[in-house]
Amino acid sequence: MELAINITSSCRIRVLLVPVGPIKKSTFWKHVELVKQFAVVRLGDVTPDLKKDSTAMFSSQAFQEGQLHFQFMTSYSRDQCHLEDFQPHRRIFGVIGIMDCQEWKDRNLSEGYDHFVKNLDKVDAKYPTAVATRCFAFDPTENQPDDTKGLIMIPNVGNMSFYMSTMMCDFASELLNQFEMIAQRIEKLQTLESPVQSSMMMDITDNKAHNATSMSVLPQPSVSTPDLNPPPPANLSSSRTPSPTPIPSSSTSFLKRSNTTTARSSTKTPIATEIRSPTMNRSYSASNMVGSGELSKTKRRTPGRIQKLLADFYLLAGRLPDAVSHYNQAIDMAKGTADFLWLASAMEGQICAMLLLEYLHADVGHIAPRGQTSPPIGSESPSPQTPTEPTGAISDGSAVASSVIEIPLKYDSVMQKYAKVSSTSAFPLPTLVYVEACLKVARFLLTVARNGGWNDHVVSLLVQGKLSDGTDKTEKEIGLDRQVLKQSGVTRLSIAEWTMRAAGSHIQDIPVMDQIIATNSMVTILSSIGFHRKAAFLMRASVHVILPLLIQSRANLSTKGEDGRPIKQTGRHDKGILAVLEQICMAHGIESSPEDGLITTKTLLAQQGQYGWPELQIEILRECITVSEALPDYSSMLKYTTILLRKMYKHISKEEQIRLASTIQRIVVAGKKAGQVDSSVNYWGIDLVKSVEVVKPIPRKAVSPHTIKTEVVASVSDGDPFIYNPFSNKKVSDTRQVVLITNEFTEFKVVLTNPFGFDLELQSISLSTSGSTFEPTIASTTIPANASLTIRLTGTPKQSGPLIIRGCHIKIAGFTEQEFLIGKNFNSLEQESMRSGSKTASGTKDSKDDEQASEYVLNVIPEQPLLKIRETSLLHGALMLFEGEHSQIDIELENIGNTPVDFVSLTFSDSTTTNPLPINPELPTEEVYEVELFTKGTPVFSWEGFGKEVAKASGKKINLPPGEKWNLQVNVFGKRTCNSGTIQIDYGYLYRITSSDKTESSEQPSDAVFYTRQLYLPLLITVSQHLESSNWDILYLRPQATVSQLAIKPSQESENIKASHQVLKHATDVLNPAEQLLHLVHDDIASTEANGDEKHDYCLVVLDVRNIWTTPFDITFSIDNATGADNEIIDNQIIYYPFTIPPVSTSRITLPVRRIRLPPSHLIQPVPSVDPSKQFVVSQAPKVAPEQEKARLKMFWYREELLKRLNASWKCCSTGRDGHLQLRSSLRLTPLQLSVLQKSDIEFLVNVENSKRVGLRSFQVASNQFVDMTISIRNRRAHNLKAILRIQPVQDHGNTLKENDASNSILWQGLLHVILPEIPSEEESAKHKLPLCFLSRGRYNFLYHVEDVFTREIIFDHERTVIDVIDTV
Amino acid sequence: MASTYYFAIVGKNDNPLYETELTSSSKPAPNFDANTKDDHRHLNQFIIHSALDVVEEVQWNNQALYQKVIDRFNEYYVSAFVTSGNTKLLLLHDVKSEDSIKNFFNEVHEMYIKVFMNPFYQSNSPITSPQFDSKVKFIARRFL
Repeated sequence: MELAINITSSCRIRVLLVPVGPIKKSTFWKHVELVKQFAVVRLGDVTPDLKKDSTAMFSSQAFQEGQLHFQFMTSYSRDQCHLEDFQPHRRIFGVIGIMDCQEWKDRNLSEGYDHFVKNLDKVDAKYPTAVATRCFAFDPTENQPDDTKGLIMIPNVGNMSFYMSTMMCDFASELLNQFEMIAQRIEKLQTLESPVQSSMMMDITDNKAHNATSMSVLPQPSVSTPDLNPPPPANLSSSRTPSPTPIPSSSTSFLKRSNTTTARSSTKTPIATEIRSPTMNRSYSASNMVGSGELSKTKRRTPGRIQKLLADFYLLAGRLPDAVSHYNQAIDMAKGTADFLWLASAMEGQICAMLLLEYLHADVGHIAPRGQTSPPIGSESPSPQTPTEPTGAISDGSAVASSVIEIPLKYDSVMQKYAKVSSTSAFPLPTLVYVEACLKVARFLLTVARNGGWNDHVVSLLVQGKLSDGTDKTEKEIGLDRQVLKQSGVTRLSIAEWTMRAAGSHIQDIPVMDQIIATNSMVTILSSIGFHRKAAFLMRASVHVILPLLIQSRANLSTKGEDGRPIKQTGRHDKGILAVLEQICMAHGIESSPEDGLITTKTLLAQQGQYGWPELQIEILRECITVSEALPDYSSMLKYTTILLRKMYKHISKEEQIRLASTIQRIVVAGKKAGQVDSSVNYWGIDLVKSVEVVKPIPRKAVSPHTIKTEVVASVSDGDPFIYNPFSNKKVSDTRQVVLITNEFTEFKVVLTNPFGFDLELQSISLSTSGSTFEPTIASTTIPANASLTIRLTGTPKQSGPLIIRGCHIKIAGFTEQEFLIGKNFNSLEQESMRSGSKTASGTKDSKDDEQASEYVLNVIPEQPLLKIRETSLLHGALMLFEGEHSQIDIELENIGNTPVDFVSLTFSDSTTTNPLPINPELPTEEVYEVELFTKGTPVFSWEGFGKEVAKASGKKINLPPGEKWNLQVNVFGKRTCNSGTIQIDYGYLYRITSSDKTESSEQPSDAVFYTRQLYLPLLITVSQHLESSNWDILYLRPQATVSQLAIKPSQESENIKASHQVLKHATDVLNPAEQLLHLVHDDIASTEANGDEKHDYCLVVLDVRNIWTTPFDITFSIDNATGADNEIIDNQIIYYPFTIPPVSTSRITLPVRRIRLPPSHLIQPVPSVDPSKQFVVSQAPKVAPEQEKARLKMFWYREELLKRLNASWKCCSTGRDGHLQLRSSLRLTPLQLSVLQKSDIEFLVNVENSKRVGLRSFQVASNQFVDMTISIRNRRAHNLKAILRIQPVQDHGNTLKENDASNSILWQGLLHVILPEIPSEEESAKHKLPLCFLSRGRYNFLYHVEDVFTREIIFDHERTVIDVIDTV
Repeated sequence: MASTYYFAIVGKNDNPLYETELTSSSKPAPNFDANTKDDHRHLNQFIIHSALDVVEEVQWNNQALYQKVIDRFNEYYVSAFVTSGNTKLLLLHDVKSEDSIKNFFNEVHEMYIKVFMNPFYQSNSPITSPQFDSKVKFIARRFL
């Protein structure tokens, strides 16, 4: 049953097309389409009723331009029958039977016709209002006689359309005749009641108990009484069946089918002729309701109503001028009697008539109206004028366009009138009429808007009741062109407003089917103006209405059982409702069809769950599930359930989640049974797998990549002066990229999350990879509710190359296995979308992150060897060392892998280097040097593989096939404070020999990057201090002293140094080593007496060595007394000094060390740094004076030199340990000591001629003899020296009695103070000869010094010259 | 009849940032009984949601932030207030009183701006601050 939702609906004559069986469905519809082509019949073509030409109300030719508009329908319900008296256009005026002659080949067609007629008669109540009937028989065959009276054969040959139109005209003519009869009856009516809603009537009849209350409450549109109870079954079934049985309505109508025996109607059989007098004998209850006052009011109003009805019939009959005039009368009269319902209805009719007039005027070009019948209806409306003016055809645009504004205005007043109905009448406003009126305006506006303003085209569309030119199908899909909208001058808002006026709870008062139709047409309007959310709102309402019907029909179906046809039919309808659901979902931002490629921002947002209103989405999804359950459609049920579960799990309770999850299983089972669901549905859209990460292998198995280039080069080539630069780019892979090794078991850490409120039991889970082959191991686990779980999955790569970890294959208990990819986070998705939209948005850094996030690629490298430390020489991995001890560790390695090892490299670390003491930058550089030398300069470990040289980075080529063993030795040095260390053995198989290119691979490592594995040997080291040196001192070794000692010395035999050396070596225990050494030195001095060389320039280094251990130690000092000049006799110059220190005792060691002189160039060298990769830091310490700095450097270099010359080693006889005694730490030179150690720059050389030399500076001369004392001064400084030499002879009387004035006993020539000539630098000397004559015996000391003329520096000789004067005998 | 209000702040993606039901007077005024409440559980939200279409249409025609009554459903009116950030403040009410609603909107808008200025508040995310909630209710008591 169609509603009158078009503005021109009231001019349509409804004609029902019924099939006269047997007829095929398709054939029937084909013929229906055919008949529908003849929906418009011009009045001029209709045969006039010749009998009463002048008096005929409708069939006269007075208004030939008029048109009859038929509305052919194929279904009909009596829901609106109560309105038929009020609005005649609702009524079915004609019934046309359609027969298919092909089905009647062997039978007489008349049988069928009889059947049709009988049908009409038998159920007279079925179409009580039909006043004209026809029966068309299509496709007649030749042999079928056209002899049945009343049956019209439509031949399928010849001018069929002409024939058809003739038939239609004939039909129209009959209708018009009938109209006249009806109109005549109407005119005679005494009272005419307003329509009363049938639902109300039913209520009254159903339960009289609630009579009064329901009457007063129900009609009021109110939210407070939403009637959502499913309507009574009887009502339902009637509204659903295609050929409905009418509701047993108590209302009778004047519109009863009249007896048409008279006219040209070919109905042979007389129809039951009881024409009930069309008095409105309403049901008793209704008349009870209507009081006597009401009755009289009705009587008063009746004339106006009659006018209105007549006008309606004129409108139907196409006699527009008459219609308009009657409408005007009706309006006037209704106004007078305050009959608002009829008034409003009349106004509606009038508007329709005006529109039609405008249409005809456009169509025909000129109208011959009856001038007097069309007075202006509203003073404000210009359009009524148009028909009156013959020249109105070219009416100006403004007047024309105004009807767009005007019609809604008029309808506004119509609405107002409708609103007043309830106040002035006992009978409330029929909701349907109100709703229809709203929709009429909305559709009118929409049509105008869609077609770009008011024009003839729009008018014709309006008359046809179409929204646009296209077929009805396109109506749903079209959007609204904004440009067109602007032109039309109609706002979307106004359309929506009119539409929404129709919506509301009052719509529930109208019959269910009409509700659905009305709602759907509202949806159509709203969605075509782009108000999707409003449309969805109404769609939902309509689904609410439909749902009970669905359930009902299912229930019926199940009881009916095996009827096949209805199922098929409902299947067709299901699709429709499912599409509706989809649209509702779309409008609410629920992702509904992810499979279509078109991704808008909205769907993207919806996928992320950010779009829309969660509560509403849940509600809607639940409704969707309910609807699909009712259908039942398993696939959509599954779809909505999964969407609800995976998108909305945050918002729904745990119980419901569990229920949903179990429902999914149930649905799948049921769906499979029904064949609607295939098993490969992705139920779980949630990303269970959050991350997959390789577990770093144990250190023994980890491989580390190396590039061929050495790393030092790389760091230098950086160009960055800073070793650590906080601003430089961080190394990208701080966490080293883990590489997998072919055929080796690998573990992955997989983080799984379960966002649901129930436990997920994973029957099996395994990694899913692509790229090179990978053999995953299958595990099983359970993820607790609302939690994440970290499990370890394992697998073995079988092939080298890149391996892409995609995610996991997971089989959740009860479901099929499914691949879960690693969860992409929303950010990256968003960034992707942003980038696609605007390229500028994201930087490079983000993209890198993206790539890392999106793909997890691992590199699988070829098989690697595996070594094992079989055994070491250590006990419990611990080592006890004495300080300075040299020891050795034996390590035996075994190749337990399947690949040979051809490269081994050892690196060491110990506790002193791994966490060195922080160096205070304030420390003076010498001390820094000390600290560095300790931490960096003295390695604990060294590898024997490279001898003395410490092998650090480079490795060694070996050949160790699988299964073989290999020994290596590592030297260990006992370093103080060292407590642990690690030996790291890197090994690999670099020179892989591939069969293809043997030559190249043997030359070069096969890859630019090669991999090594590491083996760690941790050591526990204890270093005990056993010997300590202390109390260093450096003393002069004065030749004078040795002279006296020389006298005591018993053994004079060892003149030869070499010989004495030999002796000493063999007879250590015979002599005190120190004494021996002193003798030796003395010999040295004595031997070089004549040379006047610096060979005899010795000093004495004294130190204490304390043994704090419990065993005696043999200590050997070696002193390198080689002078810098003659290196060739270096061996001879080394003096060994062995001795033994018993436990817990201290020995004082006295060592004669040749005084050292370092060239000035050596002294100005800066303090070196042990650490090559040390960051240079500008010293924060306060600047020292250059002299001080020089002095410090001097001190440093002399100390270094001394330490270089002195070496000590120890040996423990009982344990066989030996090592090096650390002297460095205890040696602190004082300036005084330095001055002793250091040879002076200015060297004095004294010689006395004619004397016996007894020592370096001691001479024996005879008295009273002239001798020449020559003092030569050698300048070793870098610059020339200009100096004054002062000589002071002193007579020594012994017993510290001295006489300074020796002028009495010595004669000398010349001055004691002389200015020497300038002595050039570098070993040049100046000589000063002083002739002397000693007058008396005794001992004389000569003191002398030089004073630099410029710097006033006084330089002494640290020894005085002693001359013993003896009597000449 | 005591009037009932339903207030919602709707974000850019049709997502509710904040919603509350407000009753004006001291009288307990549930206009739904228990039975109908179930059916109409989300009716308010649905009405607001469907009104968004109209808001989006109206906001281009009106310079002011306050859009007055923009939609109605049965006896309910929907008043809208669109912030400069295209966040919609929507009030569902059954009594027409333009001035007080305007005041209400202005005050709530101020509150909303304060929330918005919070550096920890992420734009277009639900407002969970209980203080905001109580403030809104207070404002509602004052003006509605």
